Amino acid sequence: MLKLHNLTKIYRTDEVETAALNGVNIEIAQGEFVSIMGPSGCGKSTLLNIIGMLDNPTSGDYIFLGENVAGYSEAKLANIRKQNIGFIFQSFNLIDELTVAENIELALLYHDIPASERRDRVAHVMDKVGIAHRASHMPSQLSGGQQQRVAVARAVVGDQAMILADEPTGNLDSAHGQEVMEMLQSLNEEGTSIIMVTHSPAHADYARRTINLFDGHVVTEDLRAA
Amino acid sequence: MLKNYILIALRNIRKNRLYAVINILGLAIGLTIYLFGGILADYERSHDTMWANHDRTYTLGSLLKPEANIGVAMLDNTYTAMGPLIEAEMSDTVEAVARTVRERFLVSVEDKHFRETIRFADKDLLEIFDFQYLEGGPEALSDPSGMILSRSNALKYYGRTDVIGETVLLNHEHSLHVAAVITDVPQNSHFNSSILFNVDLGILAPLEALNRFTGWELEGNWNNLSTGNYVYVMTKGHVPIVELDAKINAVFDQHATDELKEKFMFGVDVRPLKATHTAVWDMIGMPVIDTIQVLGIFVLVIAIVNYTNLAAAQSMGRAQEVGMRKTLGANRGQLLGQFLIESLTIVAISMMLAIVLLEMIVPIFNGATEKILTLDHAALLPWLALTTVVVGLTAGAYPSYLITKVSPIDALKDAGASGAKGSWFRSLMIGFQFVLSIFILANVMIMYFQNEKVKDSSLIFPKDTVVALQNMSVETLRLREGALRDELVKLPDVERVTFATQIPFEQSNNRRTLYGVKGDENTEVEANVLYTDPDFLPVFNIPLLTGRNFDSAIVSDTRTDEDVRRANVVVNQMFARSIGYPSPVDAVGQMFWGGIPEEGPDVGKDAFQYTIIGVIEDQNMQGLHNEIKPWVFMNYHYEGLTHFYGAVRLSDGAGAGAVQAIENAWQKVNPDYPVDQRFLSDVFEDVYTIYRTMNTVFAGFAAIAMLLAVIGLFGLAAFMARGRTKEIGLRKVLGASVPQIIRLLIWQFSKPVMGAIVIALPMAYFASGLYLDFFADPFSLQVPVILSAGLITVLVAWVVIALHAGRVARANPIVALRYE
Repeated sequence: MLKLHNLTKIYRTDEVETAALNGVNIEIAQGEFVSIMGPSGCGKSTLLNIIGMLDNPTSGDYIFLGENVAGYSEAKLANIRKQNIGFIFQSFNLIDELTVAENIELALLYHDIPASERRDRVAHVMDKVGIAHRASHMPSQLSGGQQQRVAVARAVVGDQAMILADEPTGNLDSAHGQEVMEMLQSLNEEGTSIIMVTHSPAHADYARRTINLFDGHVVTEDLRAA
Repeated sequence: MLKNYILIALRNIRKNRLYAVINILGLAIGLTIYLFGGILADYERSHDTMWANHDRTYTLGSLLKPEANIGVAMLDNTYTAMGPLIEAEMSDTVEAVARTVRERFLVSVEDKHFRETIRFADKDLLEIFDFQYLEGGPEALSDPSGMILSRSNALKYYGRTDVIGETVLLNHEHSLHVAAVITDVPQNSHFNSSILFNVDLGILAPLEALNRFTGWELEGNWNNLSTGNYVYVMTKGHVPIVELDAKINAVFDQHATDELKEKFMFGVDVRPLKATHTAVWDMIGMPVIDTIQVLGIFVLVIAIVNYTNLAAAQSMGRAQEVGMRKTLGANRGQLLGQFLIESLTIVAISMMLAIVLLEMIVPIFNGATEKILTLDHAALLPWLALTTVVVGLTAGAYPSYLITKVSPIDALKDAGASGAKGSWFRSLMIGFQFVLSIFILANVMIMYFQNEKVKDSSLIFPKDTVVALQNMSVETLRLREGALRDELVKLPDVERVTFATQIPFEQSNNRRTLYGVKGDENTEVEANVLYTDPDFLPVFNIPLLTGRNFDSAIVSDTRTDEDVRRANVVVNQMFARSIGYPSPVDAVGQMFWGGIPEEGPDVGKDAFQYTIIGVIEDQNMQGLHNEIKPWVFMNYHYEGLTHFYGAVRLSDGAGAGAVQAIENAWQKVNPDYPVDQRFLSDVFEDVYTIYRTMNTVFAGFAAIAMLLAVIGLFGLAAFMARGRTKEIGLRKVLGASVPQIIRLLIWQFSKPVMGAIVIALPMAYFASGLYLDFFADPFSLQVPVILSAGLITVLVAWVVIALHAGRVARANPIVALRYE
């Protein structure tokens, strides 16, 4: 599905140059569940941002579905992104002024989908993550776990092939964390590729493969027996 | 999508109530002022559109040379001689020409008496203006003793409108009969102009009648100019105004004397009928209507800047939302669209509020001003819609740009921190607002002080103890002047009585060219001449510098015989100086001359000889904006020379009964004429009211502009202080005191305000200079007043910020630190 070749990301300020990623090579196949681990500042989030096309690499290639997207413009990236990639964040990033249903629908608003179909798909995905009874609530009225379920629903409502999750359980207690992980697992089983950054070895174990990053390098790749 | 945007906009309004209220109220006030200014300007500029021929009807004004020195650069009327000349020489272009001449008469209907202004007109006036006839028709003025009454006047005289054939008596000697009755002309016509100098159209009569009554010559003359008397020209079909102007000026050039063209008037101003009503403003040289419009725009701009600043600050708190939308694939255009729709939504709400406010203001305004502004929503709709869109886009442009330019990662990461940091753009905007506020405030203050000065300078005349008797230019009344004086001085409250062709504050100019050396043009002086009696100087407290006042006991002091071509006169110091006597003492006993008659009935006679018997201080007889002019006073009484005014000087402690006592005395002597008396202070107010109105209106604008700027500053200060909570907490933990923190916050906003002062003060100096130039005696403390306007603004800004900063600074640092 995607392939990173010799990928580098360097942050420059006036005086300091920091290499967040330094010659990273990763290949991820369609339908894989990959977790990325490593200490703070090792470049996990940078990697995820580049994979999610929210950021451009300084050098190297990023082949996504056979297309080298490194160096594409923001608008072009946005277009590929909205077709293929869903995001889940540690801090949920729901919009406070919109209801649960409206938040989920947001992911469809920027596609050309008629309103009636949007409603159907939102209803369907809310059923799937078990949040339908909260459809007209505001995010602030929900628990953390419920909010993250809304975020998951938003990430998949557009039938995205790949979900990027940046510490999706970081703000949740263990029970709710478990719940979210199971949800991701079942999405993976339905064929969605999932790339997840996490600090929790237990949650990393849901993935079939774990990539360990340190100072911008891939240190090890562990494969879990199927 | 649109629904989603509007939804978000509305929910954001609900969530941030304080900012929403500030934004919406600010914009609503700005819009109200702007719209009202626009409606008022449009109303003033589009009078007389009810006449079918209005777009091919013009009025003629006079363009004056600076040497004319009558305080204005143009007049809204011109010599009546022009009418017949244009009619005769421009028949290919012009369809009809009509003149109106207004004259005051005592109108008697049986035993009821009314003092009325009658408009005497050429009969073609009825061809130009399609009045609505209740009785009779447009042939009414062809009857040399017919007249047309307005409905109101018919009702006032007879209590009904079917009054064709009824007769009225003018000044007890002339009669006219009713030939037509028309509906009252609406207020938005120059006939009934709500601006000064005009009287409602109540009676129209043919000029032939005026000719019979007073000998007014039908071919018109090159002598009299009187504001409110018009020469109307109606063209055949559409003629470009430039072409018409050229042709009419050619007629003027051909017929006006060289002397007139050299010394007084250099051309004719051709003005569309629609704009005739606003001619008064052009006459006095104040672009009042433009000023109102510009101020309206200023206030709106201040409101827009408020919105921009607050929205920009606030939108930073929505970085997370923008980041998420971008992550989900929104492109920049869509986000720009969203934020612009948001600002459009706010502006639309403000616009609705503004319309409600207008609906409330307009009737109050109409009631207070006798104007008839209307809110025609259907006609206004395109303008309102356009305004909404333009304001919405302008106000939303910067915040939208700012928020959508951030990359999604940054947007998601910082979630609102950067909004708290000062940005140069925001400082620029605050600075800009304060430039406008300080500019307006400084100008309004200058205007106020100048107008106060005008008022104070009027105190040289005993305004409150002089009662003016007006409308005395009737021969019958002149003959009874002596009897009236005798009756009046019997009253315990009356000290003296005088009769004169002019009284202080009255704006006429009876001008005469006089010569220091007989027949020598190099010694020529233009002076205003006033005919009166020995009581004039004491009645008005005018002090003699040297020489003496007129004395009834000295025969040569009083001129009663028209054939005697010499007179003793009192002059003012300026006249004495210009005729060649720098020291007033030297002037007494000296002579000067009138012109040597070259045409007219006096041809062959010697120049008129004047002898100076006294010199008075230079006082500004006409007051207000006028320059002090050379004056010559003569004690002059003979048949046909009617005084226009009487003036009764009351003793200082005169009781409230004095006015009634004067009326009783008048009735005893003049039972056939009603008294028309007013305090001199009211005569002054007639003209001063224009300044008073301007003061009030402009002060209102300044107050609103200032209020908006302060509201904006307050909102922004509140927002900024909130964004700096953590910093303030840290500073307190590190030992900063409350005053230090207040100082810190104040300083953040002081820089743009200081910058604004640097820019605004010179601008204000320049603009207020233009206003002061209008006055012969300008206010001298211009610079200190402008500086204090700057100071006031800074102080107000500091107080507003300090109010907020104080609260923030006193908060417990723990709370502040936990907040982030």
